[in-house]
Order: sequence, then C-alpha cells, then structure tokens
Amino acid sequence: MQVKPIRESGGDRAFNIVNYIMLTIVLIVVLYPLVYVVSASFSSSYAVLSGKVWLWPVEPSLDGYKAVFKNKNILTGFQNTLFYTAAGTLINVVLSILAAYPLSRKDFRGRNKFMLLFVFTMMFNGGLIPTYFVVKDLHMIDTVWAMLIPTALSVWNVIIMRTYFQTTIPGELLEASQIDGCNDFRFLLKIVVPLSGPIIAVIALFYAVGHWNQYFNAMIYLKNPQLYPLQLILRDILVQNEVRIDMLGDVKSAAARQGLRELLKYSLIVISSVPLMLVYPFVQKFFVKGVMIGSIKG
Amino acid sequence: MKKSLFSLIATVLLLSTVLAACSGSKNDGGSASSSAPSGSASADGGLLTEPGTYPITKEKVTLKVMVRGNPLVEDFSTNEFTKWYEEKTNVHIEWEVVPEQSMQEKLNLVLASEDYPDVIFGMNVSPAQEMIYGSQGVFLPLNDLIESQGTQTKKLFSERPDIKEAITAPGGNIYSLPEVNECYHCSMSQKMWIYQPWLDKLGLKMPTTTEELYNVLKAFKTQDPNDNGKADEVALSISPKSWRSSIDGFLMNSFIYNPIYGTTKRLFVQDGKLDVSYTKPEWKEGLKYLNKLYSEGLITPESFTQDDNQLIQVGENPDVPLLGASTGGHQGVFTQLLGESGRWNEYKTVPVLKGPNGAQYAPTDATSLTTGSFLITNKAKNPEVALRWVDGLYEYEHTLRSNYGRPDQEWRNATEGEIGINGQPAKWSELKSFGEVQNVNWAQTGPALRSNEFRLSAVSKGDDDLEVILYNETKNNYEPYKSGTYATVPPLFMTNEQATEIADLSKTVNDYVEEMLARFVTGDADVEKDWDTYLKTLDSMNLNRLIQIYQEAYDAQIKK
Amino acid sequence: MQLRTLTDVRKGWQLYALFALPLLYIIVFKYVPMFGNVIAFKQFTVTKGMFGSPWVGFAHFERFFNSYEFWRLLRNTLSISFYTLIASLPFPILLALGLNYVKHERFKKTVQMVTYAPYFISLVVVVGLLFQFLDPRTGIINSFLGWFGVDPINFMGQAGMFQSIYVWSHVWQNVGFACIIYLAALAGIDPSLHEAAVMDGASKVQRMRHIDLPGIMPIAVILLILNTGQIMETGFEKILLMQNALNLRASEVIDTYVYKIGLVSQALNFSYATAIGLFKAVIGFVLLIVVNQTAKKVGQESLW
Repeated sequence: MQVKPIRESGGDRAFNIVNYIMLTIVLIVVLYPLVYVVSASFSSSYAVLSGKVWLWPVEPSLDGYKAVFKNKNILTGFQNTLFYTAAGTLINVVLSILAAYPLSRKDFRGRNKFMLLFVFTMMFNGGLIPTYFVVKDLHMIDTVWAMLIPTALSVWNVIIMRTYFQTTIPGELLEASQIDGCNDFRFLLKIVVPLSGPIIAVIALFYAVGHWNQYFNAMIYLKNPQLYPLQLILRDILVQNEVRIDMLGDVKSAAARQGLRELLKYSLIVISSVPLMLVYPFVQKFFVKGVMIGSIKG
Repeated sequence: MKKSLFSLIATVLLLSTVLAACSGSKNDGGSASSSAPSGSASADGGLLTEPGTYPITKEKVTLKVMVRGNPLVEDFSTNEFTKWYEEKTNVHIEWEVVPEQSMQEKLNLVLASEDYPDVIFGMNVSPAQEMIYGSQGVFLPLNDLIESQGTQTKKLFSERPDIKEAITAPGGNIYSLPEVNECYHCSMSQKMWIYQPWLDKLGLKMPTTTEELYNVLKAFKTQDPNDNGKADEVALSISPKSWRSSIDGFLMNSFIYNPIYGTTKRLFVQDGKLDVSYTKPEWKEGLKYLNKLYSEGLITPESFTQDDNQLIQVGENPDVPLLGASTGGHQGVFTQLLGESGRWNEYKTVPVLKGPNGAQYAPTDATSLTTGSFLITNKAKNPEVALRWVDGLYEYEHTLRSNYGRPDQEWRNATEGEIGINGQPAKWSELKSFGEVQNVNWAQTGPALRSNEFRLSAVSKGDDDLEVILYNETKNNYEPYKSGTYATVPPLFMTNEQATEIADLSKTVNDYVEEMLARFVTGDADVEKDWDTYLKTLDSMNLNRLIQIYQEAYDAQIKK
Repeated sequence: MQLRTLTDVRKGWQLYALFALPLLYIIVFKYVPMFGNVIAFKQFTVTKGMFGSPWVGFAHFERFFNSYEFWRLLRNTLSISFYTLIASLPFPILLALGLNYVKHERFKKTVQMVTYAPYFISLVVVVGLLFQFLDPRTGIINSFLGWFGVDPINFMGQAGMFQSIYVWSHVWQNVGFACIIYLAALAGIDPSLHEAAVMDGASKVQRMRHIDLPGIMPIAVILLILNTGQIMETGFEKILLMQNALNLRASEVIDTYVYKIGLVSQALNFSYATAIGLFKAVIGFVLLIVVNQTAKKVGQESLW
C-alpha cells in the first residue's frame, strides 16, 4: 500500500494540475469520434448520408441494429466466437507462459539460440498455401481446432512476457526458493504466475482481442457455416447491403440498401466492440500497483 | 556443443520435410495431363436421356459443385430453386460454399491440394486462369460436350456469335460457360448529371456543347440559383471513388474516344489497331478545357480526393441544394436514391457534349459477360451430365426461376397490354424486389441468360422505376453517339507471360496517367510546359510495349 | 564440453520440459511452412505444386528491383514506417506515466477505457471520419482555420501531408491500446521503491525519472527492437483507403503495389508476392539485428 505523504510539495501540485489537464484534453480528443460513431449508429440513414449527424443521434432509429439481428446466424456466430475466444485465449496464455518463463532464465542453455529461432519466425513465414497444407495434413480443416491451434502462440506476446519476467521476478527469489528445495515446476506455478498478474492479464487481453476479431482464418479453414465466427457473419451482412448497380432493379430496395450500408458500418462497430469494452474493467483490476509483490515479500 | 538438442530438432525438421515432400509429390502426379474423359465417346450411353429433354439422367446422379457464397442466399442446399431443379433434372447437387471474399485464395488452395470438386460454379475464374489450368488438364475443354449435349448453349452461340467468340480461348478451346447479364444502361455508363431545377430557374437550356456547359456551370456558380444570397453553390463536384465517375469519364469524350471500363481503360481500337487516348493532342485540348473549368472554380478541388460519402453529403445538403452537376453511372453516386429530399429524381443526364473539334462519343462497355462462371474439372465422373445440367440454366423459365424465384410468387408472365422497360410489350414482371436475403433463388449466381432483350422486357413499374429512368436517359442522350469508327477493347485472353508483363506496366502507367490528369487539371502541372516531359515519362515506362502486348493478344483473339 | 552440456541439460530438464510444447508449435506451424518460401525462386503454379514448379533463380527479385516504381516504393515504405515508429514511441509511455499518478480512480479508469476504444473502430470508418474531419467545405479543421482567415485546404490532396495524416491518425487510434503494456509494467514495479523515494522527499517528477522510467525502459527498448523488425510492414488497408491520384507519389508503398499488381493481373502470382515478401523480411531482419546489437552495446535490454 502506498503511504500518503503528509503534504505535497508545490512541484507536485503543479505536476498534478498539468497531468489532469493533459489527460482531459486526451479524453476529449479521443472521445468525440467515439460519440459520433455511437450516435451515427442510432440515427436514420438519411441523417447520416446528408451529414446531419454531428454529435447526437439525429432522427433516432434502430434500423442499423435491426438489420444485423435479423440475420439468423448471428446467434451461432456469437456463441462460436465466445467459445473460440475463451478456449483460444486459455491455450494462448498457457503456451506463452511455458515459452516465456524458460526464456527468461539466464541459466537456460541455448536461450539465445531459441530466441533467434523464435524471432526469425516473426519476419519470415511461408505464406498461405504451405500453412494450409500443414493444417490440412493435421486434419484440422473444418473443425474448431483450425480456429484454435494455428494461432496458438504469438512470438510478440511471448517476448513481452519474457521481458516482464526478467524485470519483475528478482533473482534472489529464485535462489531463495532453490535453497528451500523448490524445483522449476513449483517455482513457476506457485511464485512466478501469482506475481505476474498484470502481464498475464495484458497478454490475455491481446490474445482475446485477436480471437474476437478473427475472420480470415475462418474464411480459409472452415466450410461448415455452423462453425463461423461472429466477424465473418457481420462482414456478410455488410456485403449483403452493397449496392450493385447491374442488379438494381427496384429503386426502393436499392435505396434502402444504400442508406443501410452506411448505418451498418457504425452499428457493426458498436456490436462487435461492446463485449470487449465490457471485458476491459476486469483487466484493469490487475493494474493495481505492486499488490502481488508486496504480499509475497511479506 | 548443443548437439544433442539440436540433432533432436534437426530430426523433427527432417521428418517434416519428408512429410511435406510426400504431399508435394502428390501434386507432381496431378500435373501430368490426366486422361480426362472429353465426353465425345458417349461412355454411358444408357445413363443420359435425349439432349434437350428432362430429366437429364435415368438414374439419380450426384454432382459436387463448389460455389461462391452469395450473402443474399440463405442456403444453397435447401434453396427452393435447388430443389425444384433437382426434381426436374434428376441430378443431386452437393454444394461446397466458399465465402466471396476468400474466393481467389480458396480456389488456389483447392487446386493446390487437389481437393477440388466436379464443377466450379459462379467463381469468376479469369481467362488467364482458364488457360493455365486448362492447358494442364485440370479444366476440361467443353467444345465436344456442347456439340453433343448442349442444346441451349448451341442456340445461344448461334444467336450471339460474339459471346461464343468472347469465351473461346486462343487455340479454339472453350473452358468455361458465362453468365450473361446485359445491363443496357451499364453499357454506356459514363454519364454526367445536372440539376434540372437550376436550369429552369435560370432559364437555361440543357447544354449540348462544351462551350455551353462552361456557360451553364458559370451561371450556377455566380447567379445564386438556390436563392439564399450566398455564393455557396458547387458547380461540378465528383468523387473519384464512385462508379464511372472519374473526371475524364464524361468530359474527355468530347475530345477523344475515352472508355474507362475495366483493365483496358483509355485504350481503344480503330481499324484493328489499338491505341491509348492520353497521349494524343486531343487529350491535351481536353486537359486545357478541364483546367479552365477548374481555375474558374467550376470544378471543386475535392473532386480528386473525396469519397462517396462526402459527395453524397454535398448532393443531399439539407434545406438548400448545393450541387449543380456531377458525373457517374447513376444518381446514387451523389444523392440518396429515393431519399427524403427527392433530389435524386431532379438530376437529369447531360447528352454527350460536342467538343470544339466536333468529337462526341459515348464509349460502350463490352463486358456483358461474367466469364468463368461454370467449369468442369478432370475429377468429374459424368461431365456430360454436368454440361446438360448447366445447359438447362440458359432456358428462359429456368433463368427466371434461378434469378427471381417461383412463378406467380416472385415473378409472373406479363399480361396483355403491359409495357416493358423499353416501351415495348412486356414479357414478364418482377413481383418481389431483389436484394433481400432469401432462399427461393440463387440471387444471380452462376450461368443464366439475361440478354438486353430479356431484361428490358420486364414490366415497367412506372416513372419512378430506376431501370426505366436509366434506360430512357441512356437511349436518348447516349445511344445516338455510339461510335462507328472507334471501339472499346474487349476482354482478352492472355498467356501467363503476357499477363505478368501487362500487370506491371499497366499498373504503373495507369496510375501515372491519373496522377498527371489530376495535376494538369488542378494546375499543379502546366499543360503547355510539362506536356513533353509527361510523354517522355510514359515512354520510359514502356507504354509502347504495353500497347504492343495488348495488340498481340487482340490479334490472337480476332484470328480464331 | 559435451559432458558439461549433458549435465546442464539434465539439471535443467524441467525448463526444457516446459519449453517443449511451444517449441513444437513453432516448428510445426512456422518452420515447416517456411519451406514454402522456396517458390520465390520458382515459377509456381498451384497445380504443379512447390516441388514440381520449375526454378527461375532470382528472376522475380530482378523483376521487382527493375520495376519502374521500385525506389519510390522503398522510400515511401521506409519513411512512413520510420515516421510511425518515432511518433508512436513517446505517447503511450507518457499516457501510462500520467495515468499512473492519477489518484482519482474513476477519472483514471474512464480515460483508460476511452483511449482504449478507438482501437476497435474499423479502418473504413476511421478513414471516413478522417475525410469528414479534413473536408475543405465542412470539416472541423478547415472551419477552425477559417476563423483565422485561412482559405480552406484540401488536405487529402497534398502529397506532402499524406504521411503526417496517416501517422497521427494511427497514433490516435493506437495510443490507448499500446499504453496497456506500460501500465502493466508500471504495476510490476516494487512499490517499496516509491515509498522510499517519498520518504526521501522526492517529487513526482523525480520519481518518474528515477523509478518509473527505468522500470519501463526494458519493455520500451524491446518494443522498439521488435517494431524496427516490422519496418517493412505498413498498414496496407488503411493506406489503400486514403490513396488518391494527387497523393499517390507519397502514398504508394510496397504492399499496396503488390496488391494492385495482383488485381490487374488475372492470375495470382504467388511467386512474385513471396519473393517480395522475402525481400521485405530480409531487410526487416537485418535492421532488427542492428538495433538489437546497438541496444546491447549501450547496456540496455536486448533480445539476445
């Protein structure tokens, strides 16, 4: 727990004021476009097309949202994505810890060579066709595994985690535990992981966002529409409302789709990001300073 | 040193290489042109019925078909038309649906992994792909099959030899059947639209020459036709990202024949010789005209940068109209169709203007076909059945059913006295509008026969019918100016080498031409002073080679 | 020598056991497909497969290096990337540091949430908003300039402004998400350090300089190294949306070029795209090594 100073120096007070001002400016600059997106999603298509929407919804309507929820596959898409995100993130986090921890240990022989091996893959990759073949040979095509395994690890995240381990887990802790007869498995499980709340939360968030927004792998590896994730279905809805001039025919339907397309862009964003926004406060809990270290040290 | 660990890794890598090699060598086998049944010998004389009759086969046959996913079709397997057609033909379809956005990648993946079905349907296979894989035996040549089994197709070819020519690859093989969808107004879609109420207000006539247009635009800008005391009128504004709307799409045709369709944009054919429009002195004259308009504030600067939304906002300005004129294929480019303001219907097309040298062209778009819409692979056990199956789709009633749905529910035959879009007696009428997600038709996937004649014989829905409006505008203001001397370059078959060279050259050249067009018009580059540098740069980009390759491909196509 | 290694391996066998699964993944899903890069030296046709397609040596690379636009593409790609790298560096850090000292919990959480949100707005909408913002007729920026009597500027038509518009909108969209890593790093700093500093009468600014900054320096350096490795990757979709005829000479990068060539040519040329991808990877890797060794030399955290 942080000890509160008895009184703040003048310098500190000035700092605080400047800090608050800067952050408020940042808040407004970032906030305005967000408000616009939400307002536009709740407006009528005419209002959006004619530029009437400025800050608040104009001619409020739920047309954008109705168009999305009309789609029969939305529910399955949502369920699928929930599953992929939860299961996928779990796999990701476990694998990342298994990779990052040994790499963070100076006495891990071959550590540098392994780092090189891993980093190399960040720049050089084989491309779509060879990867597809690997997935196919492992019989994962058109199964949920195709959504979970090919993306099981991100070297980027592993490196971030490793850096965190290196800077936050003091060497003395390891030595002390080894004297006590603690082996590597137990040390990792009982000490490192509990101390790494912040970074695990962050990595989990990054992976979860990745899964949530995933659509390309689904397009390539899945055939059964029952397995489609949310993003794929949302994109379909957007495409459904493209105005193709050689298929116009009826003005009414063409007009309706033209307007809807604009609205949809906004309501799709709101729909697909609301869940992620709701998740964030849980992640924020882990950013409480040093709670972990302090308690362990004691 | 770390040999133990490394040899472990090496072994794993080696094993994986062997695995990969094994799957790779499978592909080697596939490249040898397999003895694909060409269908000339009627191998299963007992299975098929007489050509042109239904059902197609005496016993039920299953075809594996890969189809592009159409977001407007709920489910191809349970679709009403699928079921109806299966009953009629006695052919069952196993569909594999591929999402549209990953179509190209998926196609390449299935070809690479030899995992492809009997038929490829509605996937827009390009002529180059047809030639590459056709020559390797993956796609079957259809000529003999059509000859022996394709009653409707043969009829189509005899009525429309141009279609047959367009789909025949150099060498004489036909690898795919097309979707015929002729959109009359699309074939002359480089249009300009003007706000009629302002013409009326200022007592002006519809301009017929470039000089007259200049005066009209000037009047729009200076005489406050929207009557609000502010000089806020926008004379001419376009969005380069919209359909057929680039600044040279309409206006340049008053100087030189200038089509902007497809990949052969700004190329034309004259007496069998191909050339480009943007190196000619006429183009230079056109640039001077456009620059004059721009420097007097008659073309807005945003015409080179804004997206379609920004343009629509101008067109749909609440309360007071702001937009005098715009270019594009239809009014939805700059207003909201059927919008509350009703502005969309107040814009009328400007007829092709006569330029100072008498040039007055309406360039035509030669692509009424979606090629590569149906192909048979060498995995098909019953290619004749496949061909009979697709052949039937060209029939009048089947086309109506596959594109619209059930008789008397989604469409019906026209009654006595009903008039079609083209003012002639109508033949059929659309009952339910296109564009909703449904499961009674295939939403224009795959081959069908909707010629101009077909489309224009649909019952007109009154003055507000967009099809009718576009038809009339096209007929009155553009059709009369079709050129007899110049023609647009048709879609060409190309070898892989040609296609590769063209890709590099045309991308660079076209981008440069568009960049310089913008710069000349805005005055950033001087038409007089910088013209020679411009020509020299095009030369150094190997423009001549580009034209030469296209010429070779064109000659090969014509010769067949 | 070998004996010592074996003993080390046996002693540290648990670490190897932990590492085995991730290593397997990397081998199977990253290294096995990497053989596919061989098609950069072949004329690849899908039906002939990787092993059946004929060799063409460096032909694809030559085609790219000799193409008319090559130098311009390289220049634009590198300058946009470096600009993005440098501009994106300080802001997430400053934001994290500032948030760290905010005592008012709700304000802190609100700012975090709000800055995190833009990351989820699709690129199409971001670019659309950008266009609205910069519109000569109705955009906020030009209205603002109008108060000072400045004529409306068509920002998107100025080639010279393209990179700045691209980079700063990128910063706007990503600063909140990027700062999360730093927040986590700051949360991992031993609070007793701060307690001691406060006891010694240190001001917040001093604490930032002497405790926070050194605390997040390792992660900042690592991120810098990693981002340098990605220098040849640009936000291709976003650039494509923002390009127009007037700014093309500053906005055409390698990725958009490859994409457009693919569109115009009728058959996807995997070999060409792979060759260019290899070229980009080599450059990125070399730069990464350079920055990594430099970081090591100046005593900072490094990858190896």
